[in-house]
Amino acid sequence: MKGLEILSTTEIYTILIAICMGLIARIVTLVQDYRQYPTYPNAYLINMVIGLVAASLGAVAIPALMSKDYTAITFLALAINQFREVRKMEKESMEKLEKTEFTQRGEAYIDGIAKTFEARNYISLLVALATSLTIQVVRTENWWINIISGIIAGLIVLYVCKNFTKGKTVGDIAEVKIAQVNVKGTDLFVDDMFVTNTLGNENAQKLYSSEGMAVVVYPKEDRYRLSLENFGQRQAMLFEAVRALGAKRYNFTRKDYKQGRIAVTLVPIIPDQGKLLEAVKNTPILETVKKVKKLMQTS
Amino acid sequence: MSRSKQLYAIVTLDKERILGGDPLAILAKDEEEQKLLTTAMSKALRGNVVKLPNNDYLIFSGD
Repeated sequence: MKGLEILSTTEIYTILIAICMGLIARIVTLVQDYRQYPTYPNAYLINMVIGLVAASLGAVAIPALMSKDYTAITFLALAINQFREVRKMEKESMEKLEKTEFTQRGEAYIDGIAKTFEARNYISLLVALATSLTIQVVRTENWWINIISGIIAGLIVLYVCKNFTKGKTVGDIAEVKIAQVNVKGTDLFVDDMFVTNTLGNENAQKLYSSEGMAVVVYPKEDRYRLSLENFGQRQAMLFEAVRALGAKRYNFTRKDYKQGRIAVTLVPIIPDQGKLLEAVKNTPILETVKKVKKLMQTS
Repeated sequence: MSRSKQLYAIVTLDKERILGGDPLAILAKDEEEQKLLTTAMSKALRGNVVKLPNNDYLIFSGD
């Protein structure tokens, strides 16, 4: 039987520092995206624990390889499977919640959020891996130099990954303005845009006339219309508006083909125009609807 | 906002327009009763209402 092998001090601090860095990376990305959370604090805890596992896998990979344990690579493959499960789990959880929300998030938005969850675990793994690798590569007599080098490398990877995965919001590509709600008979208009004719009921007409609110989204460039007019993107804007203010009963979005405007309108529980503007402006541009300018140009 | 809508009922004043089948068609005796029935049904079914040009009301699934 092989004798008990004790980890060296270098390996212990390498692993511990790398795990801490990976966990910090997950916490930083969790805080940044608190708005996208379906639940708090339980989902927060679940994702921190999964982040800890991701960081541990990244942290032990390099020391394991250094001790010629090549099976460590299979653990990384296992991690990828595990993170795909995280995406699936988040997606299923949000899909089940759809019926309980004021309005639906929509499949495109759910897909985007679930991908973000998966990607953030990879960030945690990569940060831990970079920290651990740097400590092993630097390996001077002075522990502090090794540790500080590892931390700096981890922070650089975190910064690069965060910026790489950071998407745009509606406010970056469009002007959002408060608009006038007009009810003419059974028809609803936002400014001069027709939205719906489903206010057939007198109660609905009264409610919308007195309490309805709306914003109109104007794309800054014509090419942004492709993203903003997408059904999934409009649904995401409506969802964020309704989540910020609540909805007494009605909520609609409508696109105007001629001028490229988009109306988002609702009867809110909390009538706060500032919040409505902010909610629509801060809606993320979904990855699935984003168009790359370079690829759209034809020769 | 859902892309597919389900038609729940039609409330009319003209029995000639009741052709049977799905959805449920209700005959009201006057305009006032037609409005009351439509409102009550839309509340119960949480449906939206459209007033057609021929003055019939359609009740269909809301959001």
